Amino acid sequence: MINKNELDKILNKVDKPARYIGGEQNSIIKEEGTLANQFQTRFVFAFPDIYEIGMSYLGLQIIYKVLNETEGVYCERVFVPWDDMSTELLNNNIPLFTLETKTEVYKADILGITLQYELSYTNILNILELSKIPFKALDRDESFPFVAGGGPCAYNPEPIWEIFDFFMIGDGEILLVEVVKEHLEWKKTREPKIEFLKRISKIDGVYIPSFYEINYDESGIITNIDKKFPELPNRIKKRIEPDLDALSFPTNPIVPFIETVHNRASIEIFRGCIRGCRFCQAGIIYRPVRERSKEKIKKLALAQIKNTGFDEMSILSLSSSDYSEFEELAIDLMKSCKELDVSLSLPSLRLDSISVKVLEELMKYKRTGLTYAPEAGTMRLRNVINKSITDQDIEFGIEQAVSRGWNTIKLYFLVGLPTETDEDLDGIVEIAKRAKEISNKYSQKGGSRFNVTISVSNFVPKPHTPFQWFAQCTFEEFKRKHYYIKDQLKNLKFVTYNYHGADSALLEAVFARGDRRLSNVIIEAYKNGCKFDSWREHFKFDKWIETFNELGIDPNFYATREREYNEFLPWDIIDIGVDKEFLIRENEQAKKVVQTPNCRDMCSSCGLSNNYECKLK
Amino acid sequence: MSKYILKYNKTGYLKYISHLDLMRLFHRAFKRADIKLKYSNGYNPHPKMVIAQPLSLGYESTAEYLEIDTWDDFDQDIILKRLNNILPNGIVIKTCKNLANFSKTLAALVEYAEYQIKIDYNDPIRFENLRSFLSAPEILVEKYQHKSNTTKIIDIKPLIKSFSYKINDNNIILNTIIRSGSSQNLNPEHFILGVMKHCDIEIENCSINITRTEIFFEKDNVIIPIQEIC
Repeated sequence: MINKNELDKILNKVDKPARYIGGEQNSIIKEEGTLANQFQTRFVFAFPDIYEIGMSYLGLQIIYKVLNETEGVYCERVFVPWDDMSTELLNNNIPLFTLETKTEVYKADILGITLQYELSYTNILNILELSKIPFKALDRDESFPFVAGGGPCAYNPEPIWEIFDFFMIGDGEILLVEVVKEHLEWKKTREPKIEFLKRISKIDGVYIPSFYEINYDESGIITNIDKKFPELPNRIKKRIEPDLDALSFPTNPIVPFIETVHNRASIEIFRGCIRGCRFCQAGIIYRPVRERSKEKIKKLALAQIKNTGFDEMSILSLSSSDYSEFEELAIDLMKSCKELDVSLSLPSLRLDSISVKVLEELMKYKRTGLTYAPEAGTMRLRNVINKSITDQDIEFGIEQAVSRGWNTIKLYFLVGLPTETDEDLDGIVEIAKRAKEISNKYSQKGGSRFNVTISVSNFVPKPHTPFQWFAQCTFEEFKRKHYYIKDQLKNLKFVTYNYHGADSALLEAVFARGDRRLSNVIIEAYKNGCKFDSWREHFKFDKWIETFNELGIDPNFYATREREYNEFLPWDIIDIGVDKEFLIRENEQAKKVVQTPNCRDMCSSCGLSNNYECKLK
Repeated sequence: MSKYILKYNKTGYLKYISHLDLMRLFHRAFKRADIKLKYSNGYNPHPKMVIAQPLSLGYESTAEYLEIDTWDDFDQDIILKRLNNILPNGIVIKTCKNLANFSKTLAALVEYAEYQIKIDYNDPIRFENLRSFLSAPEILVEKYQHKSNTTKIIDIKPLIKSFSYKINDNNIILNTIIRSGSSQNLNPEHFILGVMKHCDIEIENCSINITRTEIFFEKDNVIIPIQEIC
């Protein structure tokens, strides 16, 4: 355990020391031991960014609860210290420690790191270095923890294969418990670590990268995969839990002392999405759609508010207005929230009449910001990406909001989408102008303070999507597009325009569809000073390029190369239940500028219902 | 409708949460405890909850005061019990008193604060110089002004009401009552700078713990702990 006096000395020197103290309401302290109410398996959950970011991740609260409810298991948390703290830790030779008991992270049995975004990979190494744990699994002897990963990036974990002992893919609530229970059993046997990995290799959803050998040809394409043991599955099947109501969900989430990105009660209302937008990885990897019941959601909401004292509550999903009884749910929750003096936040809404009626109710006591994501500037391009919002829907949505007094609207767009032309970019500008025209109809006396924020992101093709074969836009082309739009928007005073850097989009694209040969790139880049890559002030693009050059790896092989349908893709080893044929069909439909209906209107045979019960079919 | 004054400790790791963090913490605690606070009027209503004197980040305290206005009337013990059941380790409500017929706010009445300062130092004998600390006509200290990015020399002697110390083997413990509040305020950091300068010791070599042990108002030249207002 870290000495409190030593810790006090450095905490007095750093910014926001409360990031490192633990002790928050609803955090859990357990003692080591073999009694019934004690633990034998120590799990440390790490989010590879700072406290404020990690504590806003709902998955943390779910995993924390699920593991701490499991007899014999104790789950604590750790986050990446900010630079000032990591300097103090290194200078004073203090290894990274858990928040709850200030135990050194290297004493964990399992260090679980969540993989939420590719630009967090160097921070994984940041955590390992500060914890004094070797980067590569093969360099860690029996004394070091198992390093495990899960989350969306685990659906293509190949670039980080050397760092992790194992990955867990799919719904974690039951899978994690099965893995830690195996650990409890294995620990008693005192057998070497490889025996534990062999045990869990039999669990559906567990991928042990060191048990597979990937072979490449001279051009860098994968030829085949060799399994170290014959009983291993050829592909790892993602875990799907069919009944969300049966799964454990937090009623006592940890309440941070300091302000984090979100400080609110959060209830996941359903998993998956019916829309099938072709650029969206989440819509494919979280299939099939499974809803929590209205009653359960309300119960969880009331419990969370009672146990936290939060002022705000939010319902979460990929597309909340698609919840089957959305209007009833929203109005019921709004009523409860009003009684409890809590405000309700409804992110991820679509632009249609039902949502607006709900927003009208909301407006009666709390005005939240209005955000819509048309993603593409023209209907043509929206047909390509399978986003079924029409120009009329957009105008209708804006009109409904503006006529009720909202004068700030945020619109999200992607650039670099397949088949995109400058006409599509012109479409973005047209939408902004149209929004202003609509607002003019309702403007108050004394001039309109109406403001449209146009926020542009750069399209990164993701694995397991219809666009996974697509060559990403080049860095120069992204920049040209950003300025092309900027030129047209700059004279419009009511528009705030922002766009994301093309450099981070390139890097994200490399790792999203990367293979094992990138492993050393990440390690070298970290050694060259790269970390906190998703933070603009830290991102060192030139160091990354230097690293690629040093190691003789061409980032364009991964980002801007078009793949053939018959190419063996690095993430093919993960079986998400959706057929590759479906993804190919969707890509072909995209080229024909044809939409595919949503899953509720018509089943398009993505392949999931061959092995799982899809309630929408 | 009732007004209460709560006296509480803020110790241990909780010394690292800021004044605003603490206000949020209390806000949530009152909600969980089912103690409805009155809200202020105006465009941006907020719950009527005032901390008498903010405590700097990193300081502990055994004498903090929170003034609240509630919609309903409560037994003093009920408030104490409910809150202590909910509050995290490091914040303990020691007393709760009903302030009937009290219209002023505590914050305006604060005049002095008492601090206990523990300085770890391997050669504490050097602090013997403190014998003459208050006998000089002035105690000059450099004060850094954030807004103008300049330093100003101030005389802290008039702001020190009393001062005592005890030298131990590995540390020195200072007790001082200094000016605090909206009219005149001495930051304990400047007091410590004065002490260090007087004894010719570099502050970087010391480990310092500061605990606020009482807050006072003044009546007829006598200082009285804030708690005794009622």
